[in-house]
Amino acid sequence: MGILSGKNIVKKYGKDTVLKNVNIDIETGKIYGLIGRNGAGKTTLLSILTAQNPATEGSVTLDGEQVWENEKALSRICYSREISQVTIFGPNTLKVKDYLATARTFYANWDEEYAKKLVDLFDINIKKKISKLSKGMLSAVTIIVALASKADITILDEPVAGLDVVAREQFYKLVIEEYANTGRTFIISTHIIEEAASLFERVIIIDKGEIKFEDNTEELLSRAYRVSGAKEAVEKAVSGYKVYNSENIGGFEAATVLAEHPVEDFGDGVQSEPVSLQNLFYAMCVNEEKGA
Amino acid sequence: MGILSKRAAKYYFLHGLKLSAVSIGSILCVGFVWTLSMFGVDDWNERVIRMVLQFTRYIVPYLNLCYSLYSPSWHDSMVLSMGARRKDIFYGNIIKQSVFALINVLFFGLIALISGQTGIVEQAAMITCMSLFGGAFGLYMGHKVKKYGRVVMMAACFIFIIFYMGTSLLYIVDGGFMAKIETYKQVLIAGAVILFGVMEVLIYRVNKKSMVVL
Repeated sequence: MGILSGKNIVKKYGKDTVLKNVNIDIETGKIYGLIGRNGAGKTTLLSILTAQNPATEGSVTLDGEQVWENEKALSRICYSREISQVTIFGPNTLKVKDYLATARTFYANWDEEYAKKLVDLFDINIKKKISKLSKGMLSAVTIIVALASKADITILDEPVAGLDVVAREQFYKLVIEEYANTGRTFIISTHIIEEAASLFERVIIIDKGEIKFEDNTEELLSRAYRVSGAKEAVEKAVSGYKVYNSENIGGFEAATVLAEHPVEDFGDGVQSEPVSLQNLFYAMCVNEEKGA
Repeated sequence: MGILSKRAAKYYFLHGLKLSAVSIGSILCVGFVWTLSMFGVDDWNERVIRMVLQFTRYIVPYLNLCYSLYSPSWHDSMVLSMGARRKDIFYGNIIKQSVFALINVLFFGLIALISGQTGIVEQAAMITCMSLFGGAFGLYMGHKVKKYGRVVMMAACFIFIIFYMGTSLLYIVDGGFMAKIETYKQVLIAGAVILFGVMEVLIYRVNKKSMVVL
């Protein structure tokens, strides 16, 4: 098992510190979900982990070797990024087939047959210019490059943002198939948490340039609860636990709780139910805002 | 040379070939138009060839500059996002620009040789050096445009306009100005080579920390 490791990563753009001393270990052979609000630092973190952008401070290693300008490490990583369609002189002026041909040139393990299969599956007209593609088609091209690269560590940033529900399901299925067949590592950043949650073996939650959580998704959710009931009863039940968000709805109190270990019973007078990853993430974000 | 370096070198080499084809195609189109407009006039063929050669001397360094200007935001950024290293991109750009300059100079030399022109070697050296300097200058400006935006492009255009106006003014005041400059060909060649070296050092430094912006 390999590890893509980022140590003490700091990234500054002028006076803004986008990443604040981030430490992260990505174990190979797992599917990671990276979730965070807009501007949390997801894309910056992924760019630095893949040596696409330099960090202001800190280091990134793959199996102990620096990733920066290292052919061996870079040949094992693919970070497929969406191309801006509005640039005057940029890759968006290329035809899809030329863009895929460039990918074929640079990715050492590129699978041409698989790429063709995916082009057919997503019904992409490869003769079209990238600037003329719809948002969904553009996302599909990004996915095709990521999957056909056959890189050990494949990173996708918002891959399903523009896809319709059918294409999204196809994408999730493809990732699971690839994972099952090859054991490739996937890091998927997404805002559509509810749909993708079941895909993630581990989840990383990033907020304001800091990693808040990095845990096994199932274990994390097994410790997360929504406790509801009369205000006094809920307050009593959740005391001693980390409460992320507490809402009062029609005289009833509902608190989102993350315990250290799974809790059998919160006591009389309250109801407890599991919390979805999206709701837990929402509670964390709301809590941060209240704290701020 | 690693596999990745070879792949990057091949990519930039082929790209240089494509750009050369576009450049030669454009020169031939211009030559064709001039042929149509001058056909039947005394010594039309000599005049057209002279004009085509003159045009090639100016357009090749200019095109190398233009193609290099958008490279950091386009091809370099794209291949960097696909796992190429910064040093592969640095050498790749030198390969691309050299291929472009060399093929165009060969094209120029071929026409000049067929038409019995003199001083071909000196002129070819001039085009090569000016073209390489133009390419390096364009690439450096491209890095600055990528970092600071179009304001750099506008500033560069403004400087060029001032330079062009100054040169034109000198030409108006002294009609033999260009001919005088031609007599300093060797100085110009040496200057272009030195500036090319300086620009490459600067490019190497900015390229070392280049980022993907797609």
